Amino acid sequence: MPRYLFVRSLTALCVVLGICTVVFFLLHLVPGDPVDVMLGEAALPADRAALRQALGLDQPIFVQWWSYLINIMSLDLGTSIHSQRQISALLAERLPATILMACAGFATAMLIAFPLGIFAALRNNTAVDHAAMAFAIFGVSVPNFWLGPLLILVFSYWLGLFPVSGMNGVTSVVLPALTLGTGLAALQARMIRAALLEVLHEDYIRAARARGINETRVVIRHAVRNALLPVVTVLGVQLGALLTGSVVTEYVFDWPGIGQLLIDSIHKRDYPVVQACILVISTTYVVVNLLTDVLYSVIDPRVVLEQ
Amino acid sequence: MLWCLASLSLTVLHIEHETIYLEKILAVPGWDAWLGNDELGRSVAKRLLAGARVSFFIAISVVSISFFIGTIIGISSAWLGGWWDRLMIMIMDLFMAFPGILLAIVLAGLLGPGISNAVIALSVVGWVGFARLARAQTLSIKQRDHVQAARALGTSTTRIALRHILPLLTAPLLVQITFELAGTIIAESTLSFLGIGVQPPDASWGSMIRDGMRYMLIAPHVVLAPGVAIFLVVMSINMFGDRLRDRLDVRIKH
Repeated sequence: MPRYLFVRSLTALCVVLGICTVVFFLLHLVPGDPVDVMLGEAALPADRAALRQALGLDQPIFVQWWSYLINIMSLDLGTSIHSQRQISALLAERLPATILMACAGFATAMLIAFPLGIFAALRNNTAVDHAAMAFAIFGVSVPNFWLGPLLILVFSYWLGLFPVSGMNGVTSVVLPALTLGTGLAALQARMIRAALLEVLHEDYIRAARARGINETRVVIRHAVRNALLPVVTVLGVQLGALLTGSVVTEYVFDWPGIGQLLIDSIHKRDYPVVQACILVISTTYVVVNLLTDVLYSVIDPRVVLEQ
Repeated sequence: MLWCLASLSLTVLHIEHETIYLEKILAVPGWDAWLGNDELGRSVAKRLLAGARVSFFIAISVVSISFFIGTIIGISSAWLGGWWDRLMIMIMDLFMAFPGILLAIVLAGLLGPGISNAVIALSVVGWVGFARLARAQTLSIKQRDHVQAARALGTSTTRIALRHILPLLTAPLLVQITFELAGTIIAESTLSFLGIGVQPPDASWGSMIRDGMRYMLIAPHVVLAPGVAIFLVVMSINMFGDRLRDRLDVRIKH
């Protein structure tokens, strides 16, 4: 186990650095010069050259790339071109909001998906099942930049239950969480239903019932636990969707998180901040996927972690 | 079975209906607005159809480009093996280890808004799905007897790829195409919604929602209409893809 963790962490690190490399080169391939953005078109050539040198942009691209990787490894993310502030400080400001929203969205998704998936499987081919699956199709197909405004319209404007946007108080997190969670809830409900339907036909379920264990216990202890594995498998991948969704959702609800910082920085062509945001998001994604793999062995002791 | 076929043809008709309809409608201006007018007094129904054209244009370009590049890379990677295969696997893994739409957002944002840039940005992340699928399938097809026989007869590599491998890839790739289409439509409207995709005067469902949000409280229909459009199209394509997968899989099994 420790050896496995070590090797996997090392691979994860390589993947993160690889992503940084891809993003780095893509950013440099894209036309558009940050120096132009900072100084404007009318700047003197001497000023441009000076700034270029100060930013290290005059060096060959491979040298720039190398020093970028070295900086990342020493956790130095640089300073924002636009606000001249330390990027790590900027991120530290924004991160809690994003984490709060992602967790709330995730919790919402699970709270919807589990009851829905379990009931749909237990009442297979009834109205409950069909309704649950209709919701699943709705959830997968509805774009969250539309669901957000829709929820604002209904719950904030017509019903006046929650604030329209911004982050203040507990109630303000409800609508973003719902917007973010619906897609994931739909996918998970489908997965849970499918996995549970398969498990419910297994012999050990019949055996458990034959032993007179009550139905709730059979479902929760014997069926759901065994149905969890395929559900956890896709969870890691779906978290990527959750992260992406959070960018859009933050934009809709004017939520002061990383996603909004990313979009802002793209508009301002603030390359270092864009790179840093991508770094944070991709690291989260890679780490979560690593944790999912480890989680397997906890849920299913039959899984032995190897290289 | 009949119900399956009926809904399948309905889904197909629904999409075609939309694409064929829009040219006719756009050619006849001055129609009374069914879905009301937007903030500049434009007919939402007509903008919706214009948006449909942009959206389908982008989706089809992106999927064709991704399909073309992805399939070539996938087949060549599986066929040639060696360092090329290893390099491609590394690149594919990198792309898979990262939510693609985020990269598209960054790319589209920095390339600057516009239809062609949106196509580029979405294609850069779109090819990976095709490449992985084509590679995995080719690896198994490569070992089949008919390919071995063709090889033994000295058939050229290109010919083997086109005549002996590609036809067997059609079914899984078709299914992949439907899902990528749905994904691209959502991705494109996401870009436009964030203000880094399609720009005015071109209409896009995403930017219609973005613009409409400001007037949502007075005129909800401006936001509702494009959203329903995206939702219906994506749902139809997804359901079509599901059916297609079920049907084609059955044929593969027999």
